[in-house]
Amino acid sequence: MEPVLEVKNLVKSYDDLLVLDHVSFDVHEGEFLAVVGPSGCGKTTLLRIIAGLEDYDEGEVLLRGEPIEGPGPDRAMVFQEYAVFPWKTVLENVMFAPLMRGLDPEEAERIARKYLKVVPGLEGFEDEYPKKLSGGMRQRVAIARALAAEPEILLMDEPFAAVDAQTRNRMQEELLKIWKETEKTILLVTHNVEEAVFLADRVMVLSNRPAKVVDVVDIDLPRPRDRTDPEFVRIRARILETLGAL
Amino acid sequence: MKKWIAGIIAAAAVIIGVGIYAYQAQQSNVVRIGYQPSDHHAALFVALAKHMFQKEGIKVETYEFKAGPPETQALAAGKIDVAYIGCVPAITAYCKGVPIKIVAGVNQGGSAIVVRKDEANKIKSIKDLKGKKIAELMKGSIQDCIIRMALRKYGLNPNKDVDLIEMSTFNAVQALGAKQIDAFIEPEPGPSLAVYKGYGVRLMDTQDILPNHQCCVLVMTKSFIRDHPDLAKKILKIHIEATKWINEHPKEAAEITAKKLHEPVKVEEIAMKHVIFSYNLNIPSMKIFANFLLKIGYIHHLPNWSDFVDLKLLKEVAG
Amino acid sequence: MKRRSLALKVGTPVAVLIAWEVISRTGIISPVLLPPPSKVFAVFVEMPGQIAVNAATSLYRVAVGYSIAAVSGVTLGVLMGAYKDVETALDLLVEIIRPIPPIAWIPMAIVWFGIGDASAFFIIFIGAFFPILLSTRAGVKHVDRIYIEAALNLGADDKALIRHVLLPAALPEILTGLRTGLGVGWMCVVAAEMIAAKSGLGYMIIEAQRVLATDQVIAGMLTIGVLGLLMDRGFRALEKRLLAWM
Repeated sequence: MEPVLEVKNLVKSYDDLLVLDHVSFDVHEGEFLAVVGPSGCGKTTLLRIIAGLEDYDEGEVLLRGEPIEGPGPDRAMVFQEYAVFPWKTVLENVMFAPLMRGLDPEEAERIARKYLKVVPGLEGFEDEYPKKLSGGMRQRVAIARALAAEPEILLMDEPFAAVDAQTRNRMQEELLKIWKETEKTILLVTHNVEEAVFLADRVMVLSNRPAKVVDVVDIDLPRPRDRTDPEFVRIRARILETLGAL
Repeated sequence: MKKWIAGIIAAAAVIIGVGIYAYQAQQSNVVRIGYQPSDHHAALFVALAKHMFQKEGIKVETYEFKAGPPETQALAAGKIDVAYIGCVPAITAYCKGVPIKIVAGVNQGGSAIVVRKDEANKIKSIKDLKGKKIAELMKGSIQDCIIRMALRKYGLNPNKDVDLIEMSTFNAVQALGAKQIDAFIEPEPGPSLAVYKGYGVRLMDTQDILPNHQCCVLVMTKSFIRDHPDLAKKILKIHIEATKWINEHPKEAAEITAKKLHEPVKVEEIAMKHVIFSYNLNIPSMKIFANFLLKIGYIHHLPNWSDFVDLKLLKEVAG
Repeated sequence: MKRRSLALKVGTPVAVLIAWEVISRTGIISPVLLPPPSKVFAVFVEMPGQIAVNAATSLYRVAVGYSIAAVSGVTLGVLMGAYKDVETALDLLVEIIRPIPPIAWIPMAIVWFGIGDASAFFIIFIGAFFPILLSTRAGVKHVDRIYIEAALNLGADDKALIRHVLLPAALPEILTGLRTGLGVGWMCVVAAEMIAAKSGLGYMIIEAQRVLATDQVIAGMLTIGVLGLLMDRGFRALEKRLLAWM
């Protein structure tokens, strides 16, 4: 079966600074792929290129076999910062992508309410403005908003980096539940190895700048995963070792 | 909180104190005379040109005003002591509480309605001015009063049936030439200049509307007459002398006025023939004006004539 | 503390009124130059109709001139803020015309539009336009990139980007510009009416001044002040409602 996303020999540099050096990988239907790497290695740049928010110099990015052209809701993204629109209520934020697709407001609202149910904890907050919500809640809104775009692949850029450890663990579990329920293909970028191992089917390790793929680790552990399980710890240690050797 | 109130009172006291000081500081020995750039005030131009004030040992400062209303404001504010001014703004000022007295006449008649040359065959009487754009010197001036009287006499509403706009005399002449207005009512030399330049045709002189009407008058503040009676008499004497001189030497008077107003002597010779220079007052015409001003709401009561018009000085000086 | 500030707020104007009445009544300053407040307030009782008609005329002129300025200022401001080319093309022109005081346009306004409403509309437009334009442009330029990227990512086109992101995100600054513009427009109507009109509060003041009716002049000034204050307060209340999300 054809992969959802194919990245082939992607090269990107800013002026003379090479950021991505011939990066290649595939993401398959329904797969959860995590990308880890040292901070500043270019993993966010990689994600932004896939999202169509940045150009690249060489290589190919194919979505279902077609080259991508600019940004689009088929690659909806959850940003690192809270990018929910503060001037829109929770419901209006989640309705945004359906409206942009040209749906009439009733249909857009129906879809939005569906995804507000998929993401835990948002029910009852539909008419609040984001300023009333905690950081974790805003990121939940951002996830619901991206899901409502009904993307081919959901891109996530360090989505839980700004929330406290306890909330982060809970949101990771929520994300797995959402993934199972929606059967979405997910590409997640993180610097947190434990997070990657806890969530993903496969973990791709990028080297320090310029980023190259140095390792791809299949995580065959059953879910829900136990962070203290010896196999979990072993895989995490192996990836950390790879990163540490860079 | 009490401190604040004390502070406010102290600040108010300072403001009042400074105000009084500034007001008192105005008093000095220089006589400040207001006038307008018009033939009507030729007596002042002659007195200056012939050094009449110097000969009497009086120091004067002259202040030019575009029209009567701003001159009355200067009188009210104590910026001038003596004014060559239309009797209409003088009446208005007196009735609004400005402490002034009329001590002599300056001129009678001397303004005219002029219509644009290409409209002259259509505008043959006051009532043909309906719907026209007419420049006047200023609202509240004697020309404003007379045009309103005339329009109302012909059943026209000055606020609705015509478009009255304010323009200084020389601007009005230019505007007539540029066809921006249809007519104007302005003091001499405006009318004569417009005719001389071929811009317009004289429709009628204000004297045709109200024969020998009082136009400008010599006004002094009450405090000036009270504090400097000798200076007041000398100013009046010079005014009488200069007025007589104009009537005895029309050609030279025209030359002096032409120089002062930067106009051709030829124009002034014609213009000054339309002005009656006299230090006597046509009081009945002033009463007609006052009644009309009351009727149109510019004033709310008639002046106390015996206080307002003081001819004692004139009798003493002229004999 | 609250009572104290109220006492100060009301106390100062009352003290000024009393001092004013005393100065005028005792003749320290001639009542022609400074009519006592009691006489000024009597004007409102004697000629309420005339004041109301003139105030309505001035308000109508502001409504027309200001509406044109608001629509064109916001439109052009958004275009200049959003499109670099539009800004480059217009920047110099704006910078040259902007410093010209609205009052300086009066002579040309009279030549172009004559004495009356149209001249007043034009002067108000000129006065209100630039604060609105500049605030809108600045507001749009300051919109956080993350919101623009999020909107593009979710499928917004240029039109939707302007409507759903640039306009609402810049709304605080746009409203500040609109409020400033309203204040300037109100000052301009009075100035314009003093020279280029034959009705309205500005004309009423000049007309009264010609016949030394200083009580009417001050009554007109007070009317202008109070109406200006009410407009500003009304606008602030509107801002609060529109910016509930902030």
